[in-house]
Amino acid sequence: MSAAPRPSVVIPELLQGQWTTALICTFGVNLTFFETRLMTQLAQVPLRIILADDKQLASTLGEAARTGQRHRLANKGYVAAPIRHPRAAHGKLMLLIGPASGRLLVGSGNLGYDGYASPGELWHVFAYSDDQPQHLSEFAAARSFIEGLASRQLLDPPVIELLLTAWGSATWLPQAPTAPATICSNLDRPLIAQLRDLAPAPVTELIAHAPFHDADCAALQELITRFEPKQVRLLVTDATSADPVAIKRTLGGDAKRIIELVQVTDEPAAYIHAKWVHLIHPDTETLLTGSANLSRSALLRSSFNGNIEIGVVSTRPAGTFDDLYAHLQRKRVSDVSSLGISYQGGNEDDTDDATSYPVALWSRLDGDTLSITFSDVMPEETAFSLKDHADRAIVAVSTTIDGATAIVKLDKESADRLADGGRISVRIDSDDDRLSFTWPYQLSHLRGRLDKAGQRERLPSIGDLPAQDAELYELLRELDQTLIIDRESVWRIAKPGNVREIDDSEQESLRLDDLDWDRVRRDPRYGGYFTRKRAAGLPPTDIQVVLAAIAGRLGDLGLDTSRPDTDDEEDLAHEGDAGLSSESGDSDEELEDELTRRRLPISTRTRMAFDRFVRRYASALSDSAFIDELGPIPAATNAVVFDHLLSRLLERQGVTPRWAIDAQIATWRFLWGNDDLSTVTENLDQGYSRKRSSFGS
Amino acid sequence: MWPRHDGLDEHVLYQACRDFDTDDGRTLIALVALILLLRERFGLPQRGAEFRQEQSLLAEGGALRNGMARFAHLLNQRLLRDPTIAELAQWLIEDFVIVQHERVATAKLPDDTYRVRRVGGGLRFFAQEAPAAFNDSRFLALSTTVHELGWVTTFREAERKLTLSGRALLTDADLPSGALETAAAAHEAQGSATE
Repeated sequence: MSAAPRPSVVIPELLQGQWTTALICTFGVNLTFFETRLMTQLAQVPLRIILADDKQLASTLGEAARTGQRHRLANKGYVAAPIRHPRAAHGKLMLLIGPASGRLLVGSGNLGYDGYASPGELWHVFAYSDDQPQHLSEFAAARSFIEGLASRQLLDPPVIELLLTAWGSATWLPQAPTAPATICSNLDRPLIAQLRDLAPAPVTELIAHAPFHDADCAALQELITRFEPKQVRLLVTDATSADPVAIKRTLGGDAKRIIELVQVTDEPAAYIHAKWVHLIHPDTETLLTGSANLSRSALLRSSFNGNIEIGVVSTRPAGTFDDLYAHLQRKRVSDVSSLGISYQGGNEDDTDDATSYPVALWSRLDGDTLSITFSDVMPEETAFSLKDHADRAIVAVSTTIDGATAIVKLDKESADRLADGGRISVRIDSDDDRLSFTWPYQLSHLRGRLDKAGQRERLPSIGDLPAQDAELYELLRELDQTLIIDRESVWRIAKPGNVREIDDSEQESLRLDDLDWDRVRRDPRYGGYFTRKRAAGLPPTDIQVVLAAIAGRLGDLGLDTSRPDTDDEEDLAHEGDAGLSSESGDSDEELEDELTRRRLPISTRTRMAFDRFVRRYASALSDSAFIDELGPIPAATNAVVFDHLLSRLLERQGVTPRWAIDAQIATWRFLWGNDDLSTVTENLDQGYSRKRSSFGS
Repeated sequence: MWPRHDGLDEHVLYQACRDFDTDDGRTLIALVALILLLRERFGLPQRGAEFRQEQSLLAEGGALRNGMARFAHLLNQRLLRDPTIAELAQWLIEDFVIVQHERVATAKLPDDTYRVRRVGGGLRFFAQEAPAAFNDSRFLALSTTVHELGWVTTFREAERKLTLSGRALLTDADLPSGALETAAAAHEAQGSATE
């Protein structure tokens, strides 16, 4: 999808899709733009995470606090978290991931109107799906980059927890590339070294543009030194931050080193914020795009002593990147001093000094407990004055200080106010000059969105079954979306775009060879059966919810699968919902069947649906090839669930006994083996045995 | 009712800026002076008692919409730092012009109403109307409404006057019978004439 970068990308147009996570890395951040322009399109995405340069984010949030912007959903409905890097955390990407697909954008734009919708930026767009897996390595590289930030402890602990959840929802996404990826970051190695490795020699021409240069043009000089291009073409705009004298000194008087003034043809006033280094070889071209300016911190250093940058390096046949210049107008400049440009300090690559007093770095709100982590160890006798977004005092019942963290127990009214969202202003010792702001992470709410998205609300009721038939039918629908019981279930996972109900007669025609079991094993529904190595803090899988509900009938067993309350601020779609509720019926006959079913009483419809579900399960139990592929853990788990479900359904006559008892016996036979079955049935009481014989086939 | 001063009050400054309508230092100083005069009139803490009745109106908007009371509070805090006029003007322009304008314009996207936007450490200006004039978005709507209800002559005229029914509403808190029908009839006649 992305051999060449695209100069006219409008990111809000690329957000549509069934995503579970939207993750944005940016340097500058405009939260108002995010909330008003992107949030509506990402409303159905449960986990929305913005990772921004810490100083830029602090500046944005400080400005918001100063000028009356509440950002109520920040760290409640979405995450706005800092990347705490001593220099600029400058990488820019957007990663959209779903259970079986993804979209990745790597480029030059910061989160805001200009960065995401102007012609002055460059973006690479990658897509992944089972049908288009060729960019999997790029996605893995992006994940590796984010995890690199986490492993360097540049992210707040609650954010790291949420990232685990994000990766858990996309089992197709490897931790690291297994094949070479075009995406590269400077976390470990300077970008210029990686570019040198990838670019073949010789370089006939070097074309470079960035809005920011070093004061002495050191990065430009190093590019010329390392690649020894026969020609150099430096592109500048009338807003380029660079010293004309340093440019002249670097390029010298060589006639093959020229300067061109560029502007967007259709929008001459557009700010060209894109950065690229274009190396032209005799038969090929190598292009580096992304976040790195022509500066030491960006290009010549790793993150150890430089910025954090990410980009795309690709070598392609000559002419591949011609479109890069198609929208630009170029004009030769004979004297760069005539442009009136200058080196401007305080640019993207500069860093500010830290404040002279401890500030609240981050905080989290869990019920009535507010914990605030400061930038320094706080004396035990420190007093805090806390206020909410409307400058109303927050009442603390008690405060404990442990190192750099203060644990504040809030009174209920204050806790409720903070839970509504917005900032907390923190004054140390009531000193107005020692003021900082924090938007507490509300993990229960953030997780709640995720739970709600994948939530099967009726699953916890499997213990005693719901009293109402409509709810029982909903439970069946959710079980059908949760359990992998037969080839039809597998077909739905492996072919999510071709969902349809399958008659019993068609089961055999679904050949195992046709089913993509690798795809199935990467699906979260399959992964939900395997919980032993699941990371702490992740929400329970649907299978865990079902098993806990069944175990709950036996007393206080199982894991706590309670789900936090979530606001009804946005409705969330169920990911990949299909099955009994799916719109099927290509033919008139199927439509007629469906209409007939809908005219039946709900109790009858529910029983018929359970009959079919039970028959599907029982039939698959005798399908040894399917059971072998499914594996022992899912198969045994299904047996436990069905053993319970059949018993409860029989009790309330929610299933036709003829099918239910056969299925129950098949389940026992599966669990205990054929040889022992006679022993089990012999020990059944007389009444049950008579029932079995009278209903037996 | 505040007594006017022909040469030394806020309205004189406002009219001078509006009529001159040039972005220069003189206009900037006049607008800063206008804000400081407004502070003197009812932004000082000791003036609170004089405007007790108006307090709820002044506090409207609170911290999130920068109501008058909050603005006066922030201005008083800022002046305690003894800023130069340039520092004061910079603060006013950054926090109450640029940030607020970006906030509103961003919310109106995809309609592009930006007059100015921070881009790459600088400011980018756009050719859109931005006169030095009161921009009360509700004033025109409300004044048109009361005129169309037949209570006052048109606000386009400097010497607008209350009509008989408008005066009756003011004095009796009620309208004379048939007043609204008369106003409606006038608009119906106007509508049919333009069809």
